Amino acid sequence: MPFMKGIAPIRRTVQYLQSGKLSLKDRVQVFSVHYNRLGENHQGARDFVFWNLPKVQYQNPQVQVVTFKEMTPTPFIRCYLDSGDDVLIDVDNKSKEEIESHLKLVICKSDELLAKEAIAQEKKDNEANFGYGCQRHCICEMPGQVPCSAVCPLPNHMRGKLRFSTD
Amino acid sequence: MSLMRQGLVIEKLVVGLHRQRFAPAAAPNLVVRWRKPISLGTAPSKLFRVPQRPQIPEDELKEIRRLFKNYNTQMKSIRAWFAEEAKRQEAVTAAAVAGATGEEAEFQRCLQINEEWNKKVAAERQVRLAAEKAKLTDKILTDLEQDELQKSKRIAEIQQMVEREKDLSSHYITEENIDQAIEEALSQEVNYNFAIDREGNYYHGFSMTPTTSHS
Repeated sequence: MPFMKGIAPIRRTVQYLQSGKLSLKDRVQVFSVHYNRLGENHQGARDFVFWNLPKVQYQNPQVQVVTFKEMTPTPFIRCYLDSGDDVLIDVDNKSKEEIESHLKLVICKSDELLAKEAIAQEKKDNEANFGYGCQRHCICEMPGQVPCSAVCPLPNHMRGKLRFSTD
Repeated sequence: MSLMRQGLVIEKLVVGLHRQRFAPAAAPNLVVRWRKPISLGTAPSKLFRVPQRPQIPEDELKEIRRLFKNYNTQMKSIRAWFAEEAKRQEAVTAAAVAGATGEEAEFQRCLQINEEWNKKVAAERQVRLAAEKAKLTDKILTDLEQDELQKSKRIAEIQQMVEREKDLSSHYITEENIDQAIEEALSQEVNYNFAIDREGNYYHGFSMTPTTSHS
């Protein structure tokens, strides 16, 4: 398959990305992972970055996800919040499953909150709106409204060029 | 005067006063089909046109400017006040919403969990590092021992070599006995006419009886 490039191209499929469970809290602005290329205690962090980081970015497009390599003796994750504080999560010698479950507990939205947000999202899409991205392009499509002036000319008293003409 | 005329007048006044231009609001994306090419030059009827500057008396001008200034100041202040009000309202509602959902308390709880996790991981790390350090110390000591052993072996070998040479030195040919050595070499006759079998027996000349010695 020439278009599935890279070491594990399944990570680039939409189905894989949408299966991500880590939806970070709104206050998180930056999600940084520090790890090394070598070292047994960094293996979990390496796996997390390889397999799970694309999912994290996909689920949180507004968060800056960044990695730092070969800068630390022990791996850790640091999340910077919008208040300026940061949350330090030590992931030394932990597997990627453990890291993922801990992150879900500590820095992600809970399942109840996600369900509530889903319901709120459904309510926000007002069917009465019209325009780009809505079900109707123009108000003239609705019966009872003024018909489209391209199809049916407006009466003279509503036309500016005839109201304001000098002759 | 029709509304359009009045509109034009206001536009011209504004043009004179504020040196601003307004695109007609009704057609912001005006597209013109024909414009006289610049290379053709101005038409004779339009060549010496002098646009009439609006002549407004000084005191009227002052009054108009004063009115406009007042109006703009008031509009600016109203807009600023509305912006402030909106910001204040947003802050109030945001705080109310955050308080109502109990998000802050939840987050503090999460931070607490994270603190405990970090402590546990740090403790595990201390244990691991101590074990690794002990292993490393052992390895270093073993290596040092091995090095010492190797060194002593080497020294013994060298000693043996020196001893062997010392023993052989009695048979060396030096300046003193070189003449004697030459005499001996010349007088001695070595017979190479011999054969040898698998057991190491020498057969000198054409004899069929073996001898174990070389000569």
